[in-house]
Amino acid sequence: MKKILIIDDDEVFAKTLGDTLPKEKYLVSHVSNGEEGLNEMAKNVPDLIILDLIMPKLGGLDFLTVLKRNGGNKIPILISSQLSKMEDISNAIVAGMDVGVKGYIIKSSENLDKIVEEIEKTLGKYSK
Amino acid sequence: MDFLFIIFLIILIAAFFVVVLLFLKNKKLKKDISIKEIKIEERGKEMDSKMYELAILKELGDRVGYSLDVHQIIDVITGSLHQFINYSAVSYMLLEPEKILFKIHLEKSVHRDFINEVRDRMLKSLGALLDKEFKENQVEEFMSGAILIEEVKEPVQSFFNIPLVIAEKVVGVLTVADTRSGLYKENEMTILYKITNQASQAVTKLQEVVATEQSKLNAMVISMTDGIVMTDLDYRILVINPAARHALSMDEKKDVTIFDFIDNLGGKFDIRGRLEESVKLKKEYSSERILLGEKFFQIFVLPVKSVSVLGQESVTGGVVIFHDITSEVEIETLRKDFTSMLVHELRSPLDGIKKISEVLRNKDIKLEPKGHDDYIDLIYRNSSGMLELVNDILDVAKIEAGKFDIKKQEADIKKTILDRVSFYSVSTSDSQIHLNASFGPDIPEKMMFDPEGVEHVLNNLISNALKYSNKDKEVKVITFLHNKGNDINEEARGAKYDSSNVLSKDLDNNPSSIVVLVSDNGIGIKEEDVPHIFNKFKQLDTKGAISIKQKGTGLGLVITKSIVEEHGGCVGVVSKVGVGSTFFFTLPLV
Repeated sequence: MKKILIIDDDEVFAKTLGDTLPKEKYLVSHVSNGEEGLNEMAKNVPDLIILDLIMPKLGGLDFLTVLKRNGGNKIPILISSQLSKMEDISNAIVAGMDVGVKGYIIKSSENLDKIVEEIEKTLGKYSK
Repeated sequence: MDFLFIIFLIILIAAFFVVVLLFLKNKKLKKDISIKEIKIEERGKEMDSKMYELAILKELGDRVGYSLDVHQIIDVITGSLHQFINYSAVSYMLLEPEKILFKIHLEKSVHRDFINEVRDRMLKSLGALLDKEFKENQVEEFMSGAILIEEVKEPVQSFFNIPLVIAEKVVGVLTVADTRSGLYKENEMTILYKITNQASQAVTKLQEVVATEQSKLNAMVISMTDGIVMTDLDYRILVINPAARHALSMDEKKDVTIFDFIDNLGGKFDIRGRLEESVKLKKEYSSERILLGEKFFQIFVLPVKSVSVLGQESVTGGVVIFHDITSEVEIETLRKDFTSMLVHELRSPLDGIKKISEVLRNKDIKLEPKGHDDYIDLIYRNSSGMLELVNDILDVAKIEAGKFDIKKQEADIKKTILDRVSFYSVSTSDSQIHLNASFGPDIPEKMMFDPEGVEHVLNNLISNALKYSNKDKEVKVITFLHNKGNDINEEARGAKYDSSNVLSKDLDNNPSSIVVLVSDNGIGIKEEDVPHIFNKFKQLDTKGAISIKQKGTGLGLVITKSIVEEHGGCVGVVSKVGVGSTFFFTLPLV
């Protein structure tokens, strides 16, 4: 069982993605901001993180900064956000390059199936 | 015979008397003539000197024009002085910031020692006039006219000094000197005085005129909000106003040069290149927006043209204008942000609904019955949220088009408020937020207002207060009657208002009205954001909101303001970060 942590304040996205990920293969947990994400990671180390960018308390970019400050991160991270401007995407990739960010998903332009596919590909490539 | 002799004698005596008389008369006449001659001669001299004065002043006028260059003026005086006064040398000394300029023109050849003596005497008088001591090495000497001679050493025998005074300040001395003695008499000196006096008066007046014009111009340039820099043809800064210094963070810097501009612009704008283009090719240039410090500027570069009397145009330098466009850029950014925020606010719930349908359609996913219900609930919430947003957008469009009407009718304000409070109490029961209503005394049972509009206002304010409150917090809706002139804070406390946010004293003089406060102890609003929150395009940093569903578009407050103002009332907020916010609106009784 691979553990997937969804850090996103978009309840619908987390729930639909959680339901789409096959239950027999993945254990999905969901928190709704970066702060809770850090706590959850410490308690229960995931195999992959799905990270939103705009969230209350601690947003995605700030979350990545905290990871960097805390001495880096080896867990692969996929960013999933509604932000679709090139500028936002490249900012996020640059901020996360050396703390595990492996890809960027624009939420509204991808089907859930496609997102699951992306998750499996990333896990296959980076997870031990 | 005797008789004849006597007659002869008498005639003789008479003739003598006549001769004496004639002689005396003649003598007097001669004397008169000589006096007249002297007078004529004097008048001639006077005329000459007057003519000379006039001539020299005219020459001054012609040659100097409107120049304020003291050197040039004195050169004109000294250059024409020899027509009138005899001297071996005429010289002047002028005080300059770093040195003393000493110019001597020789009419006759003299020995070097003669010049040295003149110089030393002048230096001494200048020192005496200014109460300072000057040294020989401060003097910069220029000589012209006749050559120096070695063989005959003739000392200075006649010497006369005139101070050069401009605007009541001694700026130098003018001197005539000769190897012959006893030359300079009162008459000549008076005229010399007059000439220098008139010249200096003319210069002083001209300087005053120019100074007033300059100060008018300076005041204008200084008070301009656009930064202005003017240079000459060699890019030396002639004029720079505070706004230009400020734009480039050089407020305190002294003696700004073009290089300071090049440094401080840091490659963002080629000021030197643009000026060169402007000056040499008479080209005008305007830049795109450029970020300097925290402000955006549009930079204009123009040639400074001056037109001569003959109508010929020539470029005398360049002007650079730094036009602050920060507020334009801000509005533009806000508009863009607003549009992308609207798109985001609509796309998010739509995308949610689409993803839910993906899950429901996927035959591989087996949902529990509760899961189905959850999704139906989410679809309902997402679509209602969207509908609300679309309605808000429509309302704002109506407000902007001036077509937003309210329908006043006789209704019960207490009932309207209680109805809204109980509606939200039900929906907040699970998040442990306490919502309650309290009322002050004497609230009329019936008054004129638009119940639907006020409901809308209450919806907005209460839902905002709930959004920005954390768990276990309180939201209070306090309603009381305000009587014009009474202390509104006292009236509020009478209706159980206990927040530390104090209402503005200015409200005391509002017309008698019903005041509704919606008070929370949530995250509060930053002071700098308070003035903007009732404006369109101004969405606050809502990172503090608890979830994305709770991020607003900010349109609700725009609509709230409009509804209340249609009632003749006012809206406002007092807030402190960490303490909470108190929104209020008033509904006048009449």
